[in-house]
Amino acid sequence: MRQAPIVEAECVTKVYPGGVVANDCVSLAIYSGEVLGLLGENGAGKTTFVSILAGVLEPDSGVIRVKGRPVRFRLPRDALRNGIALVPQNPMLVDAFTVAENVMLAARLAGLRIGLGEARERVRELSERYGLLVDPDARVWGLSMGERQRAEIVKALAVDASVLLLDEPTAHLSPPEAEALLRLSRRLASEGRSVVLITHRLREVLGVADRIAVMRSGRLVGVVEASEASREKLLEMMFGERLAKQPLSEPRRSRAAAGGVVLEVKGLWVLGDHGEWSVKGVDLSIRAGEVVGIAGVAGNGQRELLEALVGIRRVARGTIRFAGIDVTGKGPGARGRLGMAVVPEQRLGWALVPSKDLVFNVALGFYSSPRGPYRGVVVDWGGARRIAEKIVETMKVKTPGLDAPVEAMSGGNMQRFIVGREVLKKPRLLLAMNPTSGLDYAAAKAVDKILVDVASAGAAVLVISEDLEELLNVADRILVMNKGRIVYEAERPFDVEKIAAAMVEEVEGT
Amino acid sequence: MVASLDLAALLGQAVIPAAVLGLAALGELLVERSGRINLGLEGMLHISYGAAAAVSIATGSMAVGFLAGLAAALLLAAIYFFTVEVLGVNQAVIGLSLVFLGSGVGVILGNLGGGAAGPALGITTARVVAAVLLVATTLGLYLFLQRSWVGYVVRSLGENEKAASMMGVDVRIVRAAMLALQAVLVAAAASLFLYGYTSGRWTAGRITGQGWLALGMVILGFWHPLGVAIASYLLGLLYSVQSLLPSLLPPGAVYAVLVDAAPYIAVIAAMAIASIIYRKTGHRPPASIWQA
Repeated sequence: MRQAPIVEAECVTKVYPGGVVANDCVSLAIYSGEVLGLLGENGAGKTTFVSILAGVLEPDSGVIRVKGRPVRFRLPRDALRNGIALVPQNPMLVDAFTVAENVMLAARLAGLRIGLGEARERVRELSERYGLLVDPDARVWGLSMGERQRAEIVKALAVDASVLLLDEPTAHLSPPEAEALLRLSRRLASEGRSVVLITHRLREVLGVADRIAVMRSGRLVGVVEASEASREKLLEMMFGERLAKQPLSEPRRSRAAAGGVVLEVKGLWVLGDHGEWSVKGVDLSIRAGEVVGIAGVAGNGQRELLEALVGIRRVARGTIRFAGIDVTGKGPGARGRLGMAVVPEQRLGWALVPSKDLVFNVALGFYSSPRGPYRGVVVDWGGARRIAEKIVETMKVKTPGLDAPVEAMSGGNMQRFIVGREVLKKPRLLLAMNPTSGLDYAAAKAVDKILVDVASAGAAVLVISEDLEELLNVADRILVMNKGRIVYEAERPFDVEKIAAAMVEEVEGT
Repeated sequence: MVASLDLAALLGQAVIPAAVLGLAALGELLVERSGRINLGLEGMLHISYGAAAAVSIATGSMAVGFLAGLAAALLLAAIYFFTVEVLGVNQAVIGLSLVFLGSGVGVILGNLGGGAAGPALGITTARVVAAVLLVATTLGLYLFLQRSWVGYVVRSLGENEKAASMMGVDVRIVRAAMLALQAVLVAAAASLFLYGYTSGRWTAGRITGQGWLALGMVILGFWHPLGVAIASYLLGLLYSVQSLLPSLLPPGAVYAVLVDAAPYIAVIAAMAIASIIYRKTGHRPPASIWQA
């Protein structure tokens, strides 16, 4: 019933230097005009597989065919010239360039002769046609993750790729944005392109995919027609025998009354990267023992708010009181010593030094914590190692070893490690931004449970998330941030429709 | 004495030293915009100067001398490329090694000429050639880096190597091309120095320091071709003033040392001022420049 596949992988195998078998003889065909869902837990090998298809990684063995012809991709360029474009999970754009400049560059490299003016026009046209809102003249470093994601997709469309590999495209998007993206993949497929949609959200693949491929521990478990797939069947393929042991949803337990105020923010005004007001008069108060959630569509001032709370972005007006002290003018070190811990959005670079090992990242992470493994000014490496061991054990972090660089771990394991480290600081206040983005179901549940547990143990917790479902699960109160202001505040039981409306109301039409 | 402080003469005298520095700095600019820093620039100038002198004296041809200087500069560029880009050796270590290799071999080559004078340019011709080379190279690089799409390729590599590679940039080829262009500009600078500044004669120690100053010019010029050219010309002016200083100052060894050190002192002061400007304006070097 289908014609010959456009891209075909035959027994592709990839073993990483640490001995981790990321892809174990994976064979998969991709057809024109289909949305192929690629489902699997973090660490199942999905990203490795598409990276091989996109020429980012070279397989150790196996064959890739494009339109029946065997190809060997040495560089991403080789894949692009064969019409295969990867939209990576963490957007890969040149920060110093504008969106249009990035698109022009990518198009030129793919062999299209377009200038900057045409690139700008193209971005505008594509973003209008497909509903991907991006400003062609915005510099990438000032964009939120959601905006970068959209820019990446526009870039892939601008080079006229016939096969789009979308790696967790909805991870950084708010529910309405994710919805739009899924509709978009459908539309692209109906135009004759192929879309490979990597995700761990069942609902997403069941909604839009024609076929669903499931990977587990580096192997392809199977491919099923979406019409014949069910939630239960897919879960079983994804998790195997572990499913029976692991309850997939747990009822949120009730909690003791909240204690004293830990963080008190009054009339906070903060400038964004372009000198525009990003946070406009935010009031916020968090008590010990409660989880406060901040909901909102990406790019509404959440990032700037977090940076101001951490102490790495200057406060223009207003005050931040933490643990009874005015910390408005104090840096992140002073706030850390007072018991502030952070799980930031950027795991690599902010929370972790990618090329360094776990022990190093423990020693560094505890730098401004009074509980750090230090003897005076000397690092107690044995102590740091014991802490790292404890994190790996309690958080069930899968790692090639304590001495392996953290970048060798999958995103989910990095996040488990970061959360574990921050929690061990026994913070008064834990700040987290999009803590479960890109994590699979089990890992996300685990992280969310810890956030709740930390609050139960007496800490104040602030979760800024674009995933409303997550906030509904963990938060005691939800504040909705829209264009730099807190526009709505909700207590349990939450009125989901009102929250969702507050998130998107004004944003429409901008 | 005062009559020799003629402004027009000063401006004219500045052209050749400015072009020597400017060409070397513009070559380095290309490498830095592609995300590497070649600290071996000083060595490249030395070896190119020595090779051009030896061959032009032996053959009597300035063109053949230039080609010899180019071959020598390309050799160092090739060593840099192979060790840093292929083998992954630290670029600072390789750069500093090339300084010693280049200046050592440069002295050996230079001494082959035996102190004889080879072919040289007349002072007026030399100034015209210098001015044309500097202006043309500056404008050419400006159009290339800031306006052409290949310039975007180079800059993308300097800003985010991973993103550039994901978009399809062949990192090694672009870096190799920038290093080769640098060698061409370095050879031009060294030849101009030889034929227009030291009268076709290799003179020990004369070119010393030019490479280091050129590295500073890239920073002072805000990593922009026009800025680099302007910074180089200002330093050239300082050289012309410097040549007048001994006649204006009382005699004494201390003063002589100070006069010799003037360009370096000026560059350090200017860089301190520039870094304050950087902080105010948000200018910064290419993001990935120190990543190897």
